[in-house]
Amino acid sequence: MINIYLYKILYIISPFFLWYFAIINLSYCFFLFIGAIRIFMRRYELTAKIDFLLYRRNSFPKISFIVPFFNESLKILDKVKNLIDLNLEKKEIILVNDGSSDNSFDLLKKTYQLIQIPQFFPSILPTQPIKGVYKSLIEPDLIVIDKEHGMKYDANNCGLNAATQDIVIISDCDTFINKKSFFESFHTFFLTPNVVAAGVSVRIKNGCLCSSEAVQFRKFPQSLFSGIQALEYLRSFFIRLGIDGLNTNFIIAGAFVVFNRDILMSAGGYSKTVSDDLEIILRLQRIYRGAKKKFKIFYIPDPLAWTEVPESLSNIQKQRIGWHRGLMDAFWFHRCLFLNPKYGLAGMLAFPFGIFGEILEPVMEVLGYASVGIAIYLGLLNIDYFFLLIGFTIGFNIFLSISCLLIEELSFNKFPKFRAMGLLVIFSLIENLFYRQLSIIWRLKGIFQFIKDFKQVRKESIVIKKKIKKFHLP
Amino acid sequence: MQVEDLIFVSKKILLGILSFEIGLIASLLFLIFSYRLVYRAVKIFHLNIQKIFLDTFILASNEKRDFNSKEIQFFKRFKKQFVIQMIDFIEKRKEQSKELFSYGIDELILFPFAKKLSQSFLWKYRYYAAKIFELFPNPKNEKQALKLLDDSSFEVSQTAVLFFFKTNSYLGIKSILKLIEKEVPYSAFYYGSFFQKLDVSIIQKLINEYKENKKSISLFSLLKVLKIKKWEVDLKFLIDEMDSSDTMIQINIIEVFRLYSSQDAIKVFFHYLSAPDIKVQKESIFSLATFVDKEVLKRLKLLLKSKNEEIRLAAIFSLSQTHEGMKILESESIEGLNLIKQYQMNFLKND
Repeated sequence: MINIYLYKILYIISPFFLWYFAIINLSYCFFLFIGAIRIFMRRYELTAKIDFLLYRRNSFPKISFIVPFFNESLKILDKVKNLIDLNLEKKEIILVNDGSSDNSFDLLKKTYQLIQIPQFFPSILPTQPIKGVYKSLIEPDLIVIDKEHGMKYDANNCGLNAATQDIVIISDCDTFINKKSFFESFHTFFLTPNVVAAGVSVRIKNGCLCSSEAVQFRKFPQSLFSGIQALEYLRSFFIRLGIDGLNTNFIIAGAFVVFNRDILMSAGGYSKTVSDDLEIILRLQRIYRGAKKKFKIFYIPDPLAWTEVPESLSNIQKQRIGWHRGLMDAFWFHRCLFLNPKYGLAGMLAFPFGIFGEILEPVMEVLGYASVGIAIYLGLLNIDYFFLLIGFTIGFNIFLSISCLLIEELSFNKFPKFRAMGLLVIFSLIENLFYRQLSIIWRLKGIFQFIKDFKQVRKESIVIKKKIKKFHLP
Repeated sequence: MQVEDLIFVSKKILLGILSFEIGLIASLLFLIFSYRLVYRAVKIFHLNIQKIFLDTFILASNEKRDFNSKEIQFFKRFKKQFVIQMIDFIEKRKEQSKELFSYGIDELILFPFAKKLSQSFLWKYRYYAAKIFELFPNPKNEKQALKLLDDSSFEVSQTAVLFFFKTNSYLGIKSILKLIEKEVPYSAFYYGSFFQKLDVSIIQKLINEYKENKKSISLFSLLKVLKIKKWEVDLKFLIDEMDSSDTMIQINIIEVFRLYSSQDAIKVFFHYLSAPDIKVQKESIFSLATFVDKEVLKRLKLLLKSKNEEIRLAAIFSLSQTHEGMKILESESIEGLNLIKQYQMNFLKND
């Protein structure tokens, strides 16, 4: 009797899986294709000798950099040096110490001779109490805010309160900004009308030597895991560029993100969630599309920011669980977008793609493995078909990775060494043998965490709804 | 039940797809590595061509002579590369190239070529055309440059902008004001340093034209230009514009008057203290910071009691900028006054 039920289930779900994966993979190909076109167009732009006033430092309007940090004594000084080395004539660097318990704040205080000044800004966005505001005696553009520990979102909001400029760049402490790319690419932000937010392509800096002028690939990739993550980042950014081509982007990497401050403040700033950077972009999409206002949230395709990725499996696991949980939080908060024509392509295409292609992907994969188990149990597994399908799936993943490597080679060529390129090709094969399966388990854990903390998510959902109601165009 | 029934794909088709996939991966890999080799070869070729041009330029420059007919023939053969290398050379060695490229090469090769390039559908070539006009500013080319000013590509139009700054063309500057008015944000920043060098008579002419016909020039763009530096021009016409309901116009008027420490300026700032927009109010409070005037101090003191926190903080900041203002803050026993003093001593010095 059970066998008959299992047989029926198998009969129903097998074609469903096949079509599910076919549609998702074809969508990946479609977005990758659009992403590639955008990258090649950008490359074409950069080949012209646009060496005139665009590269002039003083032609940049004043920019506020916000860097939240928590226990980053090893990285904070490098980060400040990186920002100062950009040699931007008009800038303000706002570092927000989110209640670090290590000596990172003392290090800053000593190195940059910080003195306390009055709090010169009102706390428009509510944050944890501020212990003090400091200004450097030797670096006039540097301001450090020392506050009680909140979370990253809280530190970001505090930085937003203090920022005085229209354009704010929020950047992680471990992100390196490439000076040459910054001046080459950043003007795109100024030239695009109705910009609300923008992101850049992020690459991995593990094994690279980052100096003020350039990034050198000394030992890249440093390990199997950083290599595999480099491939993941490439795939993800190129596909996102494709999604971005339709102005339906939901994800901008928090490692480096540019905002129009007034709009961000008016939208209520960052929210208390794991992926605060993702949530705010979704919120802005929802607000602007809902109000039918002209807006642009986009990616600058140039690899401008370089970030450090975890090297150990346990840290990668932690990060991935957090990402998936955050993704689910944000999609839950803004579930009204789902197949809602009011939100245009974002609601009808990108949001469902996010749910089926990203959130539910691990569930579908696990169900796929389970159906193979059922087929073996019933003695229905056709070995030839099984291996053909497995080969096809792995082949498709390798195809996606190699295509991304080809796009990178033809465009920005950020893996100039033969060794690096060769290793990445090998990793594109290896990742299918164990890493992909591990990643599914991590993402499933993220789903379980979301279910576990659902009460808290619902509470935050109400807060976000209020923020959206309060929004007014600055 | 057959597997084909379940997934609707026969084994043969699946095998075909798999083989196609493997073939595709192999060809992509081949492309990556062969492109790498070809790219290197092309790069070496370009470097050689580049070296030939550079050697020719430097040789002629050192010998302080005109290009000879042989060299000109060579330039004509590699026109595109010549233009690219020449632009690069001029950008990098401005002084050295001034003499070198003043031997009629513009009329002989460059201008006819630029006219051709300016009609290209590729923006990169139109950019080169604009660059030639900019590097060899000749009013004869104004017509072509005006067309390039309206180009859809920012790089092209901005290069054309430089041509007009170099030729001091009134018609061109008027067109640039139209560009500022367009939606492209921050474009005025890019022109800032060039406007600074502009003859004041052109600015006065723009103001006069605006006074005569308000529709001919956008006030917003004009204000953007006026706030670049302290121009010796008559700004009285702005007093009539103060009642504009546009917040951006209001803020720009404040920023223009901030450059002039006149009684007119104080009147403008006082006027905007009661503006409905907080941003405008704050801007006028900050602008009052440098005035040591009894009436100003009185007004700022009153603002210390404002219900709005942003206004209060702005008033504290403005008062803390002057000795007299500090006395008021002391008498009002504002919280954190010691910190303000320290801030004044250290922070303001750096600014």
